[in-house]
Amino acid sequence: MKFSRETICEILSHCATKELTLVVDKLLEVGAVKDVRAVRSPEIGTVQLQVREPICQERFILGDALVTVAEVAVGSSLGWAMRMGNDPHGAVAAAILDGWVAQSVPETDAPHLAILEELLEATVLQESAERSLKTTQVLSTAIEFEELD
Amino acid sequence: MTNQAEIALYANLVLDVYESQEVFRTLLDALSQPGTIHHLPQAVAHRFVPALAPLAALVSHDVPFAICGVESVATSIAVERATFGRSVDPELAIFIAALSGVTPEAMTIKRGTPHRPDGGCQISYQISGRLILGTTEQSTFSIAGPGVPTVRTISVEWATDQLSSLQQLLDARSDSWPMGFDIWLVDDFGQVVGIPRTSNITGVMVQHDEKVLED
Amino acid sequence: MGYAAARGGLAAIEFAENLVQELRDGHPSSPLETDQVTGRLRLLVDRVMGEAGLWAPEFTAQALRQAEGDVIEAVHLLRAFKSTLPRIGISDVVNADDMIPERRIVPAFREPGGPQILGRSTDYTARMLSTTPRETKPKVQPAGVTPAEESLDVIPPMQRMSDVLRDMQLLVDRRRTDDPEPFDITRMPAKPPAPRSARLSTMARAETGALVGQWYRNILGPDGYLHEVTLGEVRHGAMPITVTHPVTRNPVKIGEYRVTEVEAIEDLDGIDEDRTLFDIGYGLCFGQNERKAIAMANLDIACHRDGQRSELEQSILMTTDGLDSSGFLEHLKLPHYVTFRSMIERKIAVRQARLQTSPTESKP
Repeated sequence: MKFSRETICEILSHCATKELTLVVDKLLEVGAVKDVRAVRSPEIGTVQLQVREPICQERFILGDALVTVAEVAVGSSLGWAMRMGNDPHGAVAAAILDGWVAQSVPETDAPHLAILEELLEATVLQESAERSLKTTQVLSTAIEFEELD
Repeated sequence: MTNQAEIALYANLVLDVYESQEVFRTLLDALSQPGTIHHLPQAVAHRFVPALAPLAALVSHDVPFAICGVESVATSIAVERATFGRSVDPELAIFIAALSGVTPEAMTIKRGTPHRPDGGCQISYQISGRLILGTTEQSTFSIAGPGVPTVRTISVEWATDQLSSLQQLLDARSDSWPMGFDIWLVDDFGQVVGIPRTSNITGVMVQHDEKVLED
Repeated sequence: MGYAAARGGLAAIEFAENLVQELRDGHPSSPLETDQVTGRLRLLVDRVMGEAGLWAPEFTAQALRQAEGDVIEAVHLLRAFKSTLPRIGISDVVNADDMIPERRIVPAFREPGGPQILGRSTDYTARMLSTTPRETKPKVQPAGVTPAEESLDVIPPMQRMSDVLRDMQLLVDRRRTDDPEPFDITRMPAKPPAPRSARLSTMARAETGALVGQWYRNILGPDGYLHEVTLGEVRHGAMPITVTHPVTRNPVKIGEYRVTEVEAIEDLDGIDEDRTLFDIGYGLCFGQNERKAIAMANLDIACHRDGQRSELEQSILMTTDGLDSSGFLEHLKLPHYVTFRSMIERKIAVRQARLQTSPTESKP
C-alpha cells in the first residue's frame, strides 16, 4: 500500500459514505475483513477549533465543528475514523478500513488491498480535478486595478 | 498489557448513556446516604475494575482525571480513549481512581477553594475485598454526619494490605468544609460506599483478626 | 378597573405549537430540502453557523427550516443542540496562513504581494432586483475575455499586508513569545478585563448586526471609541481540520471549514503611541461574512488601543451575543402579571395617600 495510514484516513474522509460502505461490504463478502468488533459505536460530538492569528501569534477558539467518531477492533488492531457532520455509517466503514489496513499483511492481502487502493486513487483524482476547477474559477476573478493619471 | 487486552479494556470502559446514568445515580445515592451500601449496575461492574466506574461515567473532555496504582499508565490511556478525558497529575485531577492500595499524596489532593468548593476532588478507592454493613471481625469504621441518622458502621473484609493506605486517605480529610474531597469506596463486587467531605469518620481502621484470609 | 390573576393555557400553548408546525410544514409549496438551504442560501447558513459557534451546515439548514428563517431562533436551536453533544477533542492548532483562499482583496495596496481575487462576490454588482426568471437569465460573459484553456492547480502565494508592513518596519510588533491557553467562552463567561482570546472568541460568535452596530455607533455615534481603519487583507477560504490519530498519534486531516479573515490597519496617532507605526486588528469568523469580520477587526484594534479606559470592551463582551440579547428582550413577552399588578396597586396607594393629605386634588 503506497499510502500511509494517516493519508488513507485523509483520503477516506473525502469519500462518499456509499462508496465506503460498498468497499467494506465487498471486503467482508470475500472474507478479507473479518473479526470485526465494535469498540465505540458511532458517536456525534464536537471538535474545538483553535486558530493562531498572525498579528500577535495568539491562539483563540473560533468555535466547534460537528463530527462523528467511531472505533472498531479488526483482529488485534484498533481502527478509528472521524467524519465531518452526522455520518455514523461512513464513520464505521472508514474505521473498519483503518483497522483492517493496520493489521493487513501486504504479501497475503495484496489483492484485497488493491480494492481499497482503487477507491483511494479514484478519490484522489476526483479531488484533484475538483480543486483544479475551483482554482481556475477563482483565478478567473483575479483583478488588477489601474491607477488613473 | 497486550494489544488485545488494551483493546478489551478500552472497549469495556465505553459506557452508553443509560449505563452512565445508572452509575451516576449510584454514586449520587452513595454520597447522599453515607455509610450505606449501593450497587453499581451489574453490566458495568463486571467489565473492568469497578473503581474505574466513576471515571468511565463522569469524565469528559473538560474533566481532568488521574489514576494511581498498578498499570496506571495503560489504564489512563484506556480511560482517556474511552471518555475523551485528559489524564493529568493527581494534584490537578477532579477525579482520581486509587487502585491496588495506591493513593495520591494526601496534601496534593484538590480540595477546592472557599469561593468554589465544588472544585474539590472525588476519589474512587478500590477495595480488594468486600464492604459489609455493620461490625464484623474485620476492620470497621463508624460514620456520622449529614445524611446519617445516628451512626453507621462499615466493615472491610479481606483488604488487609490496603488498610494503612485507606487510613491515610481518611486521615487526610481535614476539617475545612465546604472545601475538601469526597471518597467512594468501591469493592470487587461493585458495591459502593460514599464518604462525603461532610462525614465524620470515627474509629480506627483496626484489623480485628490479624490472620490473612485466603481465597 | 377590575383585574384578575390567571392560570392555565397549556392547551392553548400546544395548539399554538401545532399551528406553527402545520402552517410551516403543511404549506402547499414543494418541501424545503436541506440541500436547497445549504446550496442556495449559503450566506444565511454561514451567518447562523458563525453566531452559533458550530460548523455544521446540514444541521444549520435544518435549524433554519424549523425556525422558518428566523436567524436568532436557528442559532438558539443549534446552540441548544451543541450543548447536548460531547466535546470529543481539540483540533490541532491551525495557522491563519493555512487557509486556501477563494477570495482575497487588499483595499490598502493596489499591488500587494500575490494576486487580488474577487472570488464569489457581488461587491461591484449593481443592486438591481432581478425579476427575470432564472431559467432565461443569460450568463454574463466579460467582453474580450476567453475562459482559460488550461486548468490551474495552484493559487500563487499571497504575502500578508501585515508582513509587508513588518518588512517595511512600519508595524508595531505585538507578537507573543509565550503561548497562553485560549479562553473558552463556552465554559465560562468572559468579563472585563478579559484576555484578548476571549474578546476574539466573543466577537467570532457575536450577532452580525450587533457587531456592525457596535462598530457604527463608535464611528459615527456618541461613543467614538474607534477610528475608521484601512483594510489590509479581506480573505475568504477553507481552513483544514486536523486531529491526532489516537492510535498512531500522527496528525490526520479530516475535513475543512470556511472562514472570512480581515486585517484592519490602524493609523496610530495617540499621544502615547509611536506615530511612525501602524497597528493591526484581526477578525475571523465562520463562513463568508465579511461585514462581521471587518467590524471584528476594527473593534479588536480599538479595544487594544483603548486599554480598558472606556466601556468598549464591556460593550463587546456583554452586549453583542445575539442569543443573550434577544433572549432578554423576548422574555418581556412572558406574563408579568404579578409585577404589573403590584405597580398598579402601588400607584393607587400613592394616589389615595395624596387624596388624604390634599382632599381638594382632583381625581382623574
